[in-house]
Amino acid sequence: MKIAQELRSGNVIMIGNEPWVVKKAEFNKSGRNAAVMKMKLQSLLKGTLTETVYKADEKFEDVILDKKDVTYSYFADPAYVFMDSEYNQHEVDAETLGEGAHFLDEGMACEMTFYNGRGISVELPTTVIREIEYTEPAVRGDTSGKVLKVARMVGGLELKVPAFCEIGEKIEIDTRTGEYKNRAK
Amino acid sequence: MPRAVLFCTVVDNYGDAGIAWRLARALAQNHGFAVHLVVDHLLTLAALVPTLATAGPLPQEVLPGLWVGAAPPSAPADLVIEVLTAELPQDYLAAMAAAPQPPVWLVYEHLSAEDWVAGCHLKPSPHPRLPLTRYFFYPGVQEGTGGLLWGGRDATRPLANIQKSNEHPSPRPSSLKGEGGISILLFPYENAAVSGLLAGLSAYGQGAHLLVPQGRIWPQLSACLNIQLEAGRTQAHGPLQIEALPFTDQDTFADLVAGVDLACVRGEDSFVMALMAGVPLLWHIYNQEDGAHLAKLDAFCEDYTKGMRPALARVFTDLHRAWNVYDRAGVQENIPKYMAFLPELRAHAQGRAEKIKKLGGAAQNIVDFFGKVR
Repeated sequence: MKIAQELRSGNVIMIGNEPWVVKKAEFNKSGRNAAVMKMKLQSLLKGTLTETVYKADEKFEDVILDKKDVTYSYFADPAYVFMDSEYNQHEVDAETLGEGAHFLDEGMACEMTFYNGRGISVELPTTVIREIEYTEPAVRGDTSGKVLKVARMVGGLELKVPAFCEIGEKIEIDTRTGEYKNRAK
Repeated sequence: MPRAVLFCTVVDNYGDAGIAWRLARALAQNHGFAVHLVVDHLLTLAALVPTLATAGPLPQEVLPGLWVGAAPPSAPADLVIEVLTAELPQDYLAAMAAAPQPPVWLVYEHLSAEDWVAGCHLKPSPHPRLPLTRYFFYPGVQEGTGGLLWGGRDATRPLANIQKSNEHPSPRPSSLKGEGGISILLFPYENAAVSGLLAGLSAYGQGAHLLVPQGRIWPQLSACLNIQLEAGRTQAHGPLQIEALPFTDQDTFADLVAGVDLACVRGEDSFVMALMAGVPLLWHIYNQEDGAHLAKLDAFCEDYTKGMRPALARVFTDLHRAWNVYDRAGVQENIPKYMAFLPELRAHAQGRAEKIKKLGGAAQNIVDFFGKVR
């Protein structure tokens, strides 16, 4: 059991029969008001987001989820198929993967989280490398990185890159934010 | 007729019971609920509501449609409210969870002007193990909060009537009638700066009539003045007249607050009375050891002084800060300045009351929410 005040972003709690992941937790207390935790929660089963307020001493069953190292195998519409070290296949749908689906490469090492034997989230490496397939010509002289332009990666993903990037160049992308990090070395 | 049960735990003083009573009465008298008010310390409530006979059988129908007792009815109500620090008995909670249609369940919190309050107002709190959802209702003075409870005998009587009674207060102590001096209600908790208040008021030089209801300030005030306060007796202290008042019921007290030129109020119930009556006020906030009350005080001062001239806003804030940290010299210095602003303060206070009224009364807002969720 954990009390609301101990909960942090990333913790998983049970409300009724449903596991919810804490996305944001904010403690509030003043004067004689009850200390409360305002929390943004996301259902691990449905993906829905909700804002809640709990008394800081409200007790929750915290859930320790199973995690496994997996590698991405292939896309079998509509599921993404991953394989663990014992060659078991695990399917995850596009909604669960969210933006992460854009960054999958065959053989990519990931970490999958399970609830009741079902994969409910996939954590990708924080950085992936992609090649720029098309972008407007580089702007000479601007090396600050502050001026951005749109670029399309091999595979179709589009994102903003610094004006100095060129077609054929490889860049690093942060998979958590989907943003350009830097040129690949 | 929808049924409401309100739970009240008396922590200390009279504010918990006073707020619960006013909310219960508003729901019963003005919104057609059959209300059952459960209080753990009936004697405290009886002090405010003399018609409550604590020796008689319980629950007692104190007003039409409003029962008071020490335990809730066995069947869960349609609307369940935990007032302030009250918590539901486990068996009642279980009955709520087993009901075919679960009640609308609220916590009626303390009011605050802090920014975070609006973000928490009426947010759901689904029970981790039971099929019930609780909601936090925050009374307040800002957009996005639940407004305030107001009124005396009729909890939703038009504000204009309250202000009318403010201009022509009927229950003013007889000693005040016909006098042109400034009347000040003195109703703080224990406050070591009260000597600074007396010194500052004396220095102001226009004379003042202090009405001091029986309460926690009496021993300090007696020591300060070197007199024995006695209910019903008025004693002179330089240019000040000090009138000790006997303990009174809530309605009479509300009219007293509305009838003075300056209301030195405390906690929440009398504070709300002064805010809604549009009376210039000096608030003694409930003190907490960790100092958490000072952020709440600062938030109130910041909100209340919006629209004030900077000179008045500064005096308002400085005086409130000094009064609440027991800074005798600070109070003595600022109270004469504050008194000089009284006419302007009154106009400001009445404007604030009108603004708060636009948020809707707290009872009305609860009823609206009930209708939406049920």
